[in-house]
Amino acid sequence: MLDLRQIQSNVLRGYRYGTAAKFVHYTFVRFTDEADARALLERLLPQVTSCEAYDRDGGAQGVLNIALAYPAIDMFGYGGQARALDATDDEATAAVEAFKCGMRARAKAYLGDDGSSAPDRWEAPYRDERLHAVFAMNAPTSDALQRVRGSVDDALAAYASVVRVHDEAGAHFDGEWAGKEHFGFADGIAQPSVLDAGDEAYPGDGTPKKRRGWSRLRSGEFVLGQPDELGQVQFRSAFFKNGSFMVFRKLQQHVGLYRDYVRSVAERNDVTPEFVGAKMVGRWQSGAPLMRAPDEDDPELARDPHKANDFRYCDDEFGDRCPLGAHIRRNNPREDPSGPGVVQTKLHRIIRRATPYGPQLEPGADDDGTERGTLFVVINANIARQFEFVQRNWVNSVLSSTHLTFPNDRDPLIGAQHSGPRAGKYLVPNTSRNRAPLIAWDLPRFVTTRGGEYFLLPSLDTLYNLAHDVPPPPEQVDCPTLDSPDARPDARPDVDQSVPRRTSPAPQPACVPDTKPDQPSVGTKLRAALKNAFDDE
Amino acid sequence: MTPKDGLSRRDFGRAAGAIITTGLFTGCRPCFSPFTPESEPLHRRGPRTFTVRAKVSPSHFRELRRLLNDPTHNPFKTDARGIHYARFFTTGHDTLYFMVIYDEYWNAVHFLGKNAEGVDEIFGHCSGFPRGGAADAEALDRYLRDNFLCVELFYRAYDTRQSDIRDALVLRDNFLSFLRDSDGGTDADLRALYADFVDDPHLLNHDKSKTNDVPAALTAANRTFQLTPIRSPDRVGPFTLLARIKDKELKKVQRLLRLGTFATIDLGVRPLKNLPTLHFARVSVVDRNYMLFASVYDGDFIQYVEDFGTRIAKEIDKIFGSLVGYPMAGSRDIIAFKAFLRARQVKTNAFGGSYLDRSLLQIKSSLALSKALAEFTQSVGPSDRRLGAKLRHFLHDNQLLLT
Ligand code: HEM
Repeated sequence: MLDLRQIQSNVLRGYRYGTAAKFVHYTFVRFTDEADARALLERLLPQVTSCEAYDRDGGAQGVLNIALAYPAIDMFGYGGQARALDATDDEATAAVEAFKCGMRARAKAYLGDDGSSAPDRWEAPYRDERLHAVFAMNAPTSDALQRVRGSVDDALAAYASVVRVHDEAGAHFDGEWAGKEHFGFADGIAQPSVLDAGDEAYPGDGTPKKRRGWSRLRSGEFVLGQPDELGQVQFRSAFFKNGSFMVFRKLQQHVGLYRDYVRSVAERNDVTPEFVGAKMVGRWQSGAPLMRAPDEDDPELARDPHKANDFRYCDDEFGDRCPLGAHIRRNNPREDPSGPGVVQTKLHRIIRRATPYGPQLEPGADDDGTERGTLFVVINANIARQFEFVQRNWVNSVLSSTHLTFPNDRDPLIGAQHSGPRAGKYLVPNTSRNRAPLIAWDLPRFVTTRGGEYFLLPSLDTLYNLAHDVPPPPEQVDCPTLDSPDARPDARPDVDQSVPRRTSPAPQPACVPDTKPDQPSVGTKLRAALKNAFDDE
Repeated sequence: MTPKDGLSRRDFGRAAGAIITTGLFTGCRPCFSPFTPESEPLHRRGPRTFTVRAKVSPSHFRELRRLLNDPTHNPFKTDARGIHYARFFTTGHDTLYFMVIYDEYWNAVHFLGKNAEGVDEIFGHCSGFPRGGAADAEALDRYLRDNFLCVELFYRAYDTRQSDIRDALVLRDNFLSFLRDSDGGTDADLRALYADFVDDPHLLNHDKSKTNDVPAALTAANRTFQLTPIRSPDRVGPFTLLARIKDKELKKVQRLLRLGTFATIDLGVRPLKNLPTLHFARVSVVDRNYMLFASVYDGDFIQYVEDFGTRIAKEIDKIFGSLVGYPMAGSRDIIAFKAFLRARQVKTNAFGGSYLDRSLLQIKSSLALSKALAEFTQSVGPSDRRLGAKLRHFLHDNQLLLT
C-alpha cells in the first residue's frame, strides 16, 4: 500500500470523471527571499491536503496542494538532488532534464509549440521569467474554495518578498454541460488506475491483460520512489520519494472555429456535426466510446463507469469504428493492432486533470471573441517518458502506427496543425463500399498553447523539510559529491540527519534535442559511447 | 509461424536450401555480399549498399572531425540520382567510414564524382585517396573497391528504385490534391479535375505496362536533387552502433546475418518488416570481432528502440545477442536495451537522404497507391459514365493508403 499520508491529493485523488472538484484555482508565485519562502511553506503546510486527508471528506472542505518548479528547488539548495542517481541511466537523466529545463525550453522541440503556440507568444507570466511555485486549490463549492484561497492570500500577503505572479481560475459547467469541456465532450473518463492507490478501479482504466480484464498500472508511473512498469524505482532519494511531477498547460480552445469546421465537413459529407466530432475524439459527446457505440450516441452507456471505458481496439484494426487517428486512440492505443504494443503503451500513460476556464459558448452562438479553454494538468513520474513522449510521438506525429502514413496528419482535436503544403487531414474510414471515406481537409488548429510549466508535487515530508530547512536523509545509492554534513536542531526526529542536503550542482541539462536524433542527449554520454565502443568490457 | 512473421527457422532452412540448389555462389563473392559491382545485375533490383572504410592520414584526424562536425558543411551539393541515403562517421582516431545506399553502383561513383569538391575535402584526409580526387572515376572506383568493407547483413524495407519512390510520393500528394479540390463539387468539376489528374506525368511514369513517353524532365525523379542535411528530429535519421562480438559467437552470427541478407534480397522475405519505422539496416564485422550496425529509421529514438523491443524482439535478440554486454533479458528489457544501445552508439557526422521528410510508411503506401492508380486510371477515363461511383469504390478499397 502506498503511504497516502505522504502523497499530495492532486496526485491520486479526484481526477476521475464525476469526482473532479468543480472549482479550481492556481496561484503562481516567484520567491525572492529564501527565508520568507520557507516561512510561507511552513505556514501553509498544515493545510496541504494529502490523499489520506482527502479521503476523509472527499475534498469537500477544499484542497490545497503545493508544487515547486526547479528554480525554487535550486534556491532551497536541493538543486543537486534533482539528478539521476545513476548518471548513465538515460531514462532517469531525461526525466530530470525535462524538469530542470522547464516547459518553455522544451516547448518547441518536444511539445510541438510553434506558430501561434510558440513560447514567445505565450502569456507573459509563463514566457518571461521562470515561475517558482504554484498553489493549486480546488473545492466542490465556491465557498469552500474561497476559504482555501483566503488562507493562501493571507499567507502570501504576510511575505512581501514572495511575488504573486499570476492566477488562473477554472470551473466545470453546470447542468447539461457538467463534466464537459468547451467543445462539448465529457472529459476525464479514461484515466489510469494505480496499483495500491486505495481507490476503485474500473474496467478499461489500466493495462489490458492478455485476453480479458485489466491490470492496474504500477504506482511508480505516477508516484516517485515506487516501482514502475519497467521494474525500476526511480527518484528514490528521500527528497523525491512519494512526490510526483505535475505538468501545467494552459490550452486555449477555439470553439467557434471548431464548430464551423465540423459543421462544414458534416454538410459536405451528408452526416451530422456530432458524427464528425465523435469520430475525431473517439467518443460521443456524452462520453460513450465509439468502440461500444459505433452508430449513435448512447448516454446510458456513458453513465455506467463499468462500461464507459471498457473497450480495446483489437478487433478494429482498420479504424472502422474508431478511426485510427482519433484523439483517444492516439493517446492511449489500448491493444491497437496497428499501433504500439501493450508493453510500449503502458510506459506512456498519464493522469489528466482538466478544468475549463472562460465562459461556455452557448450551442449555436457565434464566437464572441472571449478566450476560453482548458487548464490542463498532467500527473506523471517521468515527464520525458510520459507527457512529452505522448505529445511528441502520438499527438504530433504518427510514427508508431503501421497504418497512419502521413506524419503531417496529427491529432485532429489538439494537434499543432500546419497550413499550406504541410496541412493535415483526417480520414474517417467507411465500411460501405458505395461511400468514399470521409476526409476532413486542412485541419485548423483548434487548440493553442498559452503557457505552462513543469512542477514537482513534493511529499508532505519533503515540504516539511523544505519549510524547516531540514537536510534529507541519506540516499540509498552513494554519491561521492556530497559536502560536509550540516544538520539542524529542529529536524524531525524520524529524519536521519547524517547526510547533508547540498550536493554539487548537476551538469547543465540539454533542453533542446540535438539536431540529429542519434546523438546521446548528454555530452558525457557521447564520450562514454565512443570510449565504450573501443574498450573491452 | 509464417515467413512473414520473422526470420524463422524455416526461412533459414529455405534460404540455405536455395543457396545450395541454385549455386548462387558462382563468381567471386568473398563475403557473401551481393553488392560487389560485378554481380549486381544477377540479383533483384532495388537499393544496395556499400561501406568504405578509409584510414585517416596521421595528424589529419582532428581537422577531419572538425569538418564533419560542422553543421553548415554539406559535402553533397548536386543531383543525387539513384542515391537513397549516405553517411559519414569516424571511429577511433584513424578511421573514416562512408556508407551509401544506391540503386546502381555507378550511381554512387558518379555521385561522388559530381560532388568532388566536397568529397575530396573529406577523403583528402585519408591515405591512399587518388590524387586526381573523386572526379577521376576510374581511380575512385579502384579506391572504393580497395577499401570496401564486407556487408554481412543488408536489410531493406523496399526494393524500389529511388526515381520510382520519388515519383510515387509526388503522385500520392497530387492525388490527394485532386481529391481535396473535387470534394463536394459537381460531376462536371470532378470530370475536369480528373482529366487534369490523369495527365500527371508521375502517373504515366508509373504505368509500367506501357512505355512511358512523357518527357523525363517533367517528372520529379529527374529534377536536380540534393542530399539534404538533417532538419528536424522527428524525421528520418541515422543510427550507428559499434560493439564487440563474443568470441564464441562470431561464426554463428556471421552465418545468421548472411542468411538474413539472402532472405531479404534474394527471397524477398523481410525479417524486420514488422518494424514500421526501419528503412534500412546494415551490419558489418570490423576489426575481426566488432559489429558495426547502421540503420536508417523514422522519428524519435526512444520510439524506435521501443519498437525494437516490442515488435521484433526475437530477431534483434538473435543478432545483438552475440554482443558483449547485451542485456540478459534481451531487448524486452527496454531500459537495459536502451542503455546498451546508447553506450555503444557512434555519432553519425554527416547524413543525407533523398526523402528525409518522408516516413517509411509514407513511401510504402505511396508505392502501393501509385500501382493501384495506374490500374484504375487505365480502366476509368474522364468521360466514364460512372466515374463518380467508380472513384468512390476505388477510395473505399484503398482508404488505408490515404490514412
Ligand atoms: C484542450 C485540449 C484537450 C481537449 C479538449 C481534450 C479532450 C478530450 C476528450 C473529450 C477525451 C475523451 C474523454 C476521456 O476519455 O476522458 C480525451 C481523452 C484523453 N486525452 Fe484529451 N483533450 C485535450 C488535450 C489533451 C492533451 C494535451 C493530451 C496529452 C498530451 C491529452 C490526452 C488524452 C488522453 C490520454 C485521453 C484518454 C485516452 C484513453 O485513455 O482512452 N488530451 N481528451
